[in-house]
Amino acid sequence: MQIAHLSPTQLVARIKDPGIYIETGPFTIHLQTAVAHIAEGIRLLYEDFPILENSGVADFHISFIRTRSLRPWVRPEVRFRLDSESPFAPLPLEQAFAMFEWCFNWCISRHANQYLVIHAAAVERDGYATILPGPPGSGKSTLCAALVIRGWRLLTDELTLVAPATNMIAALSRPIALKNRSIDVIRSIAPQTAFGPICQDTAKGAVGHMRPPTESVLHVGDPALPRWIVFPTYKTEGATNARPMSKGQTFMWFARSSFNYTLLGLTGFEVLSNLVDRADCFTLEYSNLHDVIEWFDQL
Amino acid sequence: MQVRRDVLIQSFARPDSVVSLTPFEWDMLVRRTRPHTLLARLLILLDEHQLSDKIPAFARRHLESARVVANNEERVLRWEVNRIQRALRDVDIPIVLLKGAAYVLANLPVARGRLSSDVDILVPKDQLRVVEETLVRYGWEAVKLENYDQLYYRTWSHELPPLRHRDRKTIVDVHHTILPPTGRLRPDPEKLLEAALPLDGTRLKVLAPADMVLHSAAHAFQDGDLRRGLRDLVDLDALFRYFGSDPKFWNTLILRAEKIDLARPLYYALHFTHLVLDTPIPERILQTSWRWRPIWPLPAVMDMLVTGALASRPLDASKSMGSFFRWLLYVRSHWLRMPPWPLVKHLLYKAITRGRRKKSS
Amino acid sequence: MRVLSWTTPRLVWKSWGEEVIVFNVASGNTHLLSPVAAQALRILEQNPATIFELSNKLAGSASVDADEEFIEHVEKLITNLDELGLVEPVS
Repeated sequence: MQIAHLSPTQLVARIKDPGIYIETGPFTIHLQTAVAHIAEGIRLLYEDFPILENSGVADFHISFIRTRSLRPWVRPEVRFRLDSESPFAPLPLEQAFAMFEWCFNWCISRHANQYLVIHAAAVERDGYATILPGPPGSGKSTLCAALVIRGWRLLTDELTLVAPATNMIAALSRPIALKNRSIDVIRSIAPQTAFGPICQDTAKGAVGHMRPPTESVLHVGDPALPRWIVFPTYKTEGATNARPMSKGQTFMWFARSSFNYTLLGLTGFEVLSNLVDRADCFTLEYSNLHDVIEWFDQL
Repeated sequence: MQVRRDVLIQSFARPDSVVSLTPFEWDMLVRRTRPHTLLARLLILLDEHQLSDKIPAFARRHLESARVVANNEERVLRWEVNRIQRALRDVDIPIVLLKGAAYVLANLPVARGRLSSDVDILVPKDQLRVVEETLVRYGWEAVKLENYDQLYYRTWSHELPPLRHRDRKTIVDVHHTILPPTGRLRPDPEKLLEAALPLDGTRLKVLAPADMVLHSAAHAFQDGDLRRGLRDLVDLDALFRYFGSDPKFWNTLILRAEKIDLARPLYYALHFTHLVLDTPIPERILQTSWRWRPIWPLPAVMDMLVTGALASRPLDASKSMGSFFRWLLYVRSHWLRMPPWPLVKHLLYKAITRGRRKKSS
Repeated sequence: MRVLSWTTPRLVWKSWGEEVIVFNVASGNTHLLSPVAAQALRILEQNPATIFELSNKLAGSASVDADEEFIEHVEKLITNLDELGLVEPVS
């Protein structure tokens, strides 16, 4: 059964109590919350994901609680809990769904040492993956979203998981987080794209999430072989310009921007060596989304 | 006194019991074990009991992920000891590794799956300054403490403030004794240094087995505040099992405890590991240790405090009786460490800064 | 004064053309090496050498003289590598 098979009322009620068990690729989460924003985001953006019965078994048992305050002038806030730990300060209620996505990512980045976890987006075509690393502001999320709209399968927008035994990338297919202008850009190239609640005034500006395509979600169990590594840089003007990137530099960049490279020790070194070995590495400057998509088409 | 055993304690006391766990109970076990940072240790324990194939895949993932972390901590610790040796290579003094660093470098079973990357070393008191200066020259820095805390450390405590390496961010604690010199128990560090054994292939030493056990007991029940609770008991259990396989060990332990004034913590260590984890301690040793038990009603109170503190925190509440008991033990450990008036001042200061910090966040 | 011989700890190598990356198993650190550093480490990995011996080998393969200045550079290199934990004195 999928999230879409529950009526909105049923979904809200179930998430409130006893919580909902969702299978998201390699991870099962048990989400419990009475916060309406989050339930709404789940309804819109996770509709193709399978719901599991309440077996009590999940990789992460998380909840979001609206904090109460006796002072009416204090804005309502939401607190995140993983089991009995509450590692973060609460955030304003309007940001609840964005907080859910961030916290879910945080759980994976800390408790998934069976993978090398790299901070990068990844998309797949014909069994081969393109990895899009890049710091915030590089445009990797926008590019990822545009490629997905173009027909590439979404593997991940944020956490690229590489399995040591196979050197393949595991898919998460979760909603793509977009910020500020990116949201407008994507809406303009594909007006029919479904978005979840847009949160204003976060630390990063406006944040919204794009619904992952059904096809991507249905194939979440299919890993992909890394083939290209492309460092995007968005520029306000200029032609699309791709240049080969040195493997040594690529390796060091990944080592630094991985969540658990050091933790994995020799295994991390070997997995990353393998990854960089078999992939063609580029830097890619672009200012026009249509043009740059064409560049990817000819890969 | 009966200890109500939940799945966490039962799994450590009786690893075989995991074969009858339902998936729901396995999930609960993982969640309860994680806050104690004992997941890796649990995996090791189950491996040692040939129970690996009884672990369901979903639980195994989390245990293995934790093992990756534990392996890394061990590497960090070994490297830190390497770097300390390098820094102190021209300083010709005895250096005794304590706790985690000793367990790892001596390849003791207690080290397997254990998480700790701070390095504790014991040096003669008159060499403290030289050691500190040398380490500072090689990149370690005193952890930035407020002035009050610095004073506390240097006056009342038994260590320099911790030294953190500026690049690696790892911590070295340099001790000249193992309990605060102002406390009620005064184990003589010279005796410990005298009995210390060399580590093969290095210029470093570790405490003799009995001393190692007594130090762990002192740390758990006197110096420490049992915040680490189950972890300390798991350590002691492993040490008792390993050293206890030598029949001469037990008598040595008893004699040594009295000689270096750590009999009371040993009583607690023997009593509680046996009670909570079914640690196999010879009956006559348990009986002998009875003479060190504190006067009534302290034993019952301690029983209540310790088993209360060990009660796993409910998964859906952050405040609980467990944390109250832990706080009580924290107060107790500070009472043992400092005479009453400074204690009140110290706790007041801590409380005020905690309150202040909360307001500004 | 005792002259030190230098050697390397266990290293794992990966190179792409001129780019050499080395992983120090004991420290867990990963380093992108300059060509000279890479060459020096490869030499010491095979056989421990003093700074003098190492300078001669490096100079030989570069077809230059191992004069005083050269040896000073090598000494600096070894100091750096020692700090990083990539070389250690033979005990």
